[in-house]
Amino acid sequence: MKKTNEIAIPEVVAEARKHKWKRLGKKIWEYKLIYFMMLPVIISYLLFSYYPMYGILLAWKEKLSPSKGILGSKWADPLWHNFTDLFKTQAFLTAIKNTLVISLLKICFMFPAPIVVGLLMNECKAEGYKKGIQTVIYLPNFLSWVIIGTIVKDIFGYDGVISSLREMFGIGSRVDYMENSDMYYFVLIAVSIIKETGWNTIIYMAAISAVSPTLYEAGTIDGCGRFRLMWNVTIPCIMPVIILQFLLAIGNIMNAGFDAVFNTYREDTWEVSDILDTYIYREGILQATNWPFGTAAGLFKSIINFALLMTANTIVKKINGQGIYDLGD
Amino acid sequence: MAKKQKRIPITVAPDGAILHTDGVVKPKTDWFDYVNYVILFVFAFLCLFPVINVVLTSFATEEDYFKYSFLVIPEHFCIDAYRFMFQKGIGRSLINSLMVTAIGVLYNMLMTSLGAYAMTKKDLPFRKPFLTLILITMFFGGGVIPFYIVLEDLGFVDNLLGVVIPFGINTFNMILLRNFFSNVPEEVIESAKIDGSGETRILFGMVIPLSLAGMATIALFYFVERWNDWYWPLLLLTKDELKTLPLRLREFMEKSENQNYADGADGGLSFELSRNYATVVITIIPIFCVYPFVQKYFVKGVMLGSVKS
Repeated sequence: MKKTNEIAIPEVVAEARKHKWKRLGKKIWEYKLIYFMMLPVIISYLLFSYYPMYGILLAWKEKLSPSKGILGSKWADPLWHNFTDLFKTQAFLTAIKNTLVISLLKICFMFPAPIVVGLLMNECKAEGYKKGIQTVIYLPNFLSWVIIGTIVKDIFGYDGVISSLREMFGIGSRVDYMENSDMYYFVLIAVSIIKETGWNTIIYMAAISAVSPTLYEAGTIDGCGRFRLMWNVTIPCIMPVIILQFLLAIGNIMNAGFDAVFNTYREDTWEVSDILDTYIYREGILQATNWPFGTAAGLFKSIINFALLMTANTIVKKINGQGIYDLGD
Repeated sequence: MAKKQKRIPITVAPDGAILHTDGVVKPKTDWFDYVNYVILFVFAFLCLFPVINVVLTSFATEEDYFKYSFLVIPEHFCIDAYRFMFQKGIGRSLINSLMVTAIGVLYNMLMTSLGAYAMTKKDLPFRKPFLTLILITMFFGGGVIPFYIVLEDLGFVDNLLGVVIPFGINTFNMILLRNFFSNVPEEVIESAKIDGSGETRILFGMVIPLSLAGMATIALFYFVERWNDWYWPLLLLTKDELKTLPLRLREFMEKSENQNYADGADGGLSFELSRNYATVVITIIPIFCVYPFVQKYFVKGVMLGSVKS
């Protein structure tokens, strides 16, 4: 509202208050079409994002009886046993461990990859060559993990390229890497890097292109070579983006990538490959009798994820003055 | 990046280096450039090579495949794998996928534009609650099982619309599109209002046409999302005649693990892997068709979106 009451004459203030509601009503009427446009969006969010939240109650139920609905189903006895059961289940604990291990491996190896490639792309002087490389490295991002899984199985499988090379160079006999627990993380991370690095460079290249050319000029005049410029100008300038991405990665540590794991793991490697999402899928969704247990497992994951994301968001806000998903106004 | 291209060389320094108008000396190509070219090439090769091999293998016979263990060359070029897949009803899945994608992308774009446009209205009463409603969902959700129960209640199981309607809006995409819409100058919208255009006219006749790069970017994202989607279709579409391409691909992949189809089951020369890869090729073709046309948009689009946020 306009600051008409700077002198604060009581009558004027009262008048302004009276008009405030009238003006609000007028404004709402003015925007009636916008509200009409928002309606389907709001309904969609309420129905598909908020209504399922009510289903979380299922985590405290014995089992879902289809006739009585979620609320009418029998409460678990003791009330928290779905949650306490979780921590008595070895497979669940293994899934937590694997989720954390895979996420940390991703942060160690997958996170720096697009920064490095982005910097290299920035150093690439031949524009045509650069464009060609960009076209190719963005591509795998558009292929689904079902496709990648099919290809990975062929490359790392018993008859695959890697196995053939191994035999050809006499390193050893043919091996099915997909069934080898020791190799699983290597395969998963290597393939994920190839699939996602290209796409993730976009954000870093955007940040690099926003670096002011005058900084490079000043650096050049001071006698910096290209590596000094990279180290002392480019990297400090894109640091905020790197930190933001890093915090986002930390915030998503409970999401180790369902698609990737689900399409590449085998029963033989569950010991190291089964993550929370795949565990919930197998034990929860596929078996309707286990839904309360699965919901409890899902809720456990969601809450930790929520806490981590909120923490990341707070830190970003402190550094940038703006949260991860703030809209900048 | 764009800035760099705009620099016009004006002088050539004595050592052969090109001086640009803004005074930056572009150094001559040195050893690092060559190393750089090689590194980038290797990386791009790793991205592209498997895809090329998939295409080649899908046309190869088993004999070819085992002869060339690295790059498979289809000496005995055969399309039996494709014929086999179409016999197994992949055509039906292709139609399902096309339908889901076409209807889905239209629905996605409509919902997302409506939401994004509402988000640009800065003095809209109750804007904050609206934004909060949207942003909360980026931090917390009900989880898969409760979501599935809701979809079951609403009759979305074994219903092609079930993999479209519940996934109408991707919040990330909506925020990205909002950034594009915000770039349309306020004055343009104001003058349209004075001319008597309603909000619907302004959105569809002005804001959307002025944000084509953004629309193309988001449309590509939704296209890929709908086309590649397999998780919810896997849970929701249980009937064979409703299955989409990625589902069939998964099925074939798993079946070939159990080797349910003996090689040469169709009397042709196709084998397990070539049949899987034929399905992969059918799945990739639409992406390859759309990708080159939209590429120039999405690089710009994602950059704009990411720089803003």
